[in-house]
Amino acid sequence: MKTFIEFDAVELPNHLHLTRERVREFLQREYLPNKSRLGSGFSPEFSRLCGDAGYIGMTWPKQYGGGEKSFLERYIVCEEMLAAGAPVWGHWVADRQSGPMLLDYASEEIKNDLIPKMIAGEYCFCIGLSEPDSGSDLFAAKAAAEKTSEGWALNGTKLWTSGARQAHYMIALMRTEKATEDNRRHGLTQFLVPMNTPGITVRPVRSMAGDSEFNEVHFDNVIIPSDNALGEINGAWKQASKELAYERSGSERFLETFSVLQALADYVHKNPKVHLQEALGSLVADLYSFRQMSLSVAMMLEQGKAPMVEAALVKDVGTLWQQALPERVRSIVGGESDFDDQPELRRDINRMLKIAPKLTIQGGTTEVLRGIIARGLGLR
Amino acid sequence: MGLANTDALLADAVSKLLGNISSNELCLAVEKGHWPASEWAQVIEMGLPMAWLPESLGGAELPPEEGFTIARLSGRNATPLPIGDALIASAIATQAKLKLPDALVLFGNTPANETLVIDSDDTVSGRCRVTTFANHAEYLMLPIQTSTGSRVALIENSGNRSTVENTLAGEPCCECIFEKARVVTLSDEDFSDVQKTIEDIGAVIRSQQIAGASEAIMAICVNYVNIREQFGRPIAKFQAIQHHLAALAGEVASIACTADVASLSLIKNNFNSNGTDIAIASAKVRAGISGAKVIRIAHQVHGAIGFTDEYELHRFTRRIWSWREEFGNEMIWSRRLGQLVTNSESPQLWPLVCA
Repeated sequence: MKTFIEFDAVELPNHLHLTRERVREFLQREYLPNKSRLGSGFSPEFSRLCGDAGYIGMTWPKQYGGGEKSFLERYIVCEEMLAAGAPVWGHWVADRQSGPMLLDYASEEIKNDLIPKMIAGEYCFCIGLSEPDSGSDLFAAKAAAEKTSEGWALNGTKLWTSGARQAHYMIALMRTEKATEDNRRHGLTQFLVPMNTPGITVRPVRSMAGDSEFNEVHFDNVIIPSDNALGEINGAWKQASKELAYERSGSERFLETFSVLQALADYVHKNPKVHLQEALGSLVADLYSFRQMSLSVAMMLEQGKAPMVEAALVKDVGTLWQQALPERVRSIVGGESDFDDQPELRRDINRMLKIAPKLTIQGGTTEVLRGIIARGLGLR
Repeated sequence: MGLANTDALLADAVSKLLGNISSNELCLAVEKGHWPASEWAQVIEMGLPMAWLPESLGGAELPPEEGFTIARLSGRNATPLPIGDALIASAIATQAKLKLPDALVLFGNTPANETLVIDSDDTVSGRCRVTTFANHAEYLMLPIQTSTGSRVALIENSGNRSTVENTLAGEPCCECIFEKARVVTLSDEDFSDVQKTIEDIGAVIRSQQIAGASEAIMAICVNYVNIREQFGRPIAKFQAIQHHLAALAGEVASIACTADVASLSLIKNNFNSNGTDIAIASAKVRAGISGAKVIRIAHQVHGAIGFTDEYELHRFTRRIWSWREEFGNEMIWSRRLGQLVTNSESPQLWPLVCA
């Protein structure tokens, strides 16, 4: 019997332990002492420090200033940053998917212009996919790009765009032609859009968590050069698989609420009751498993594969778990008699409860992911 | 499976053999007390339970990955034979440098607070517990206390036994009681952590078997939903079913991946469990928790047919239930893992998780 889905066990090469040590030293030196100033979200200052340390574009070609390191080495750097709660979001999207996307599909001129500055941590990227009338159904996108004598004219609205206010560039999915009868995925093209182009307005959307990570981006006759169309005109769907595998399989799919698990460990350390230890251990085992699965996908990416189904699986199990984590920690400690005397733990749980609902929505909902997995199983 | 260095030809041969001999009929017969002697003879002939044992000790001396592959495949086929248990015994024999005969040898654990000693006439008296099939074992391996430390002894299993009861898998289980049993061989070197070693290797073997059974269940489910029609179409076309199976795939993948990581970790540490605790604990916890989810989903998508004894789903379901209890269930391994975290000076999780 051949199994449908395989996650090879990954044994990290020894030299990568050194990489991990160096990232920990970097965080110890640059982040932890300045934690309150740098925060945990966007920090241009921290992104530049990461750039200086060679932690952005680690896998990209040396020709553009990249490190030509392995995907596994990049994986280790990323997971260490997230586990420490470092403010990586200023360069995260650029490093994870926009850079690789540009390297594959942008003109030489654009690459020479942008990639070195992305690597230096100077450029923040956002991804324009969802719209007011198309969330999970990306192929229903209406925001349009029209060919003109000056280049492309963009009109329409993108919604739920993370980091659009901070971003210097957006990779936007725009309609360039109607879908065809037999292929509803046809007619969409990806564009590189400088966010300072006249005609772009960004409105923050305040969330229930109290932040304004999401934005509405409006395009009113925004003119960009012809060269800024990325890859095949009308064929964006063919370019998505590798990008989505990068986007879905990383450690942010199970580490976003990690701090609440550490807070639980600290609590149980002070209150070493058996039932608390058991509950903690069960959650640690979960984390161990999902990290190994994620690592396995990193290995597949390193081998040049495009593990769409495996990446969807990692995001499905990982995001459901990290979403449930604050609830589970609450249910473990909530009945303890000294719970009222744990203000920090309570604050941590509350903070994570507030971000939890979005975790199974952004970057592909649970339902979309399960559709992809079902197709992989041969059910569609 | 996801272990590097496994020999595809060998895995194919093992797959073929186990596929041929493992049937629903045989499982049901074993449940009624039948011992599949000829099937066991074929398994022995291929050297499967002796995979880890060096040739000098009567084993097949295969690369260490192969032992775990064999365990996985025995789970995938729900083979009603003590392949996993015999593998565990041979792993202990390898460490104890004990030569094993070409027969069914199982490891017997003494109840807590009881120890076995060798009497002056070179015999041993007492009792031990064995996971399954002890009533058919020709030899038993036992932990022995001597004045100079702990040893492992091989004895003939000719004594009495307690009433044989079936496990949840429908496999026979009993306690062996022996009086003045002759010691066939005794290991030379001290083996004081034999109990922990048994539990560790046993947990990984059971995790692999649960991984295999879960993979088989997934295949059975995918096949069934594509064939079974309701409301005018194959039920595979219903989104509710698709989402069930997608969730199932996630559970199966997590069991298999973690079992492989634990196997690799044991191999890398030469079967010495120090430093592999988190991998082993995670594998058994994962197998226990996710195994239950696999079972729930599989039965739900099957409807009533999955609940019958003529349909093959039950033999995988029931083996997962049985295996998850053996060598520490998920509660026990969770507690150990939690204690590993909180008994240290500083309970930093992250360095532990990626150690």
